[in-house]
Amino acid sequence: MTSPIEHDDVFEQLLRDSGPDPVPDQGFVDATMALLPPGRRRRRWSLIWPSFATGMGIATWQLHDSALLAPLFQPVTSGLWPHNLSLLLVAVISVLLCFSAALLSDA
Amino acid sequence: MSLELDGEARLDLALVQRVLLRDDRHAFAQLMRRHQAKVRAQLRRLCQGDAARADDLAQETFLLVWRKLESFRGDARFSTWLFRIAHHCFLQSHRQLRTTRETSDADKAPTAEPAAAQPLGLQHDLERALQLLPDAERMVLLYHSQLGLSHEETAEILALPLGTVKSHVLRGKARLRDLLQAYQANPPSGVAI
Repeated sequence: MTSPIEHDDVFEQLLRDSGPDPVPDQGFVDATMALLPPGRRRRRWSLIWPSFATGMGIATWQLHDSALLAPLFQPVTSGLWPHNLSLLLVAVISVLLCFSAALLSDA
Repeated sequence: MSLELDGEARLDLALVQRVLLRDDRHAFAQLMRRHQAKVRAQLRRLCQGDAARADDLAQETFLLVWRKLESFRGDARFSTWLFRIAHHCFLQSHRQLRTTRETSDADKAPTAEPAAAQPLGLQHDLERALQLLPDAERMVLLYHSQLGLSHEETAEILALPLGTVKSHVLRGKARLRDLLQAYQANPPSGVAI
């Protein structure tokens, strides 16, 4: 006579049946929800302005002597604000903000 | 790894998206309601019946999930990812417990009185035989054969190569059969586990 566990099906069924029984909630979810820290998203997005300011600071520090940008800023020192400088600044700020937002979303 | 998502997995994914995009705590509570029963049951099994410790670990698991949800990339089922975190929490706690009990020979002894009623007959023998298996084989059988997860999911949760999981399953089952046959041929009486 063969033992029931020699049959694959019986053995597999026995193993499955011996799996842990699901545990009823009994307040577990509510208790855990009460321990969750406040919104993660606000904290994450609050980083965008310091990151942006740091990026702008580093860029200014690196580029303020650049011969490439000097002609652009020359009129500013003599009290004029050229139209193309405004456009350039808007473009740079937009790109930086989009880049920071994309990096933070990925992170 | 491409993944075929069934309805349940798609619902999990939608809830995860709601938590991530809108910081939706209700969606997170729903995720927890959907999975707490199995996670807590599995942790109780890993903690050898210590329900209080298992529930602490389950709570730690869900708090970690809340903090790390952005790192869930959807390349595995949410449940697989969740079990992986739960297993990681268990291993950390197990290591700490081991360090504090280093002097005692606690490796094979249960860490607490089993909370569930003792099963009878063949099921009881199986419970005992499982405790006699090497840790790695027992863990693999817990996830693969008892929870019904695939080899791939078990490998993902336990951070083991797929081949190792497959061989642990085969070896573990063979060893279990031998142990059970030995029990049936010669039923033990009053054997201390």
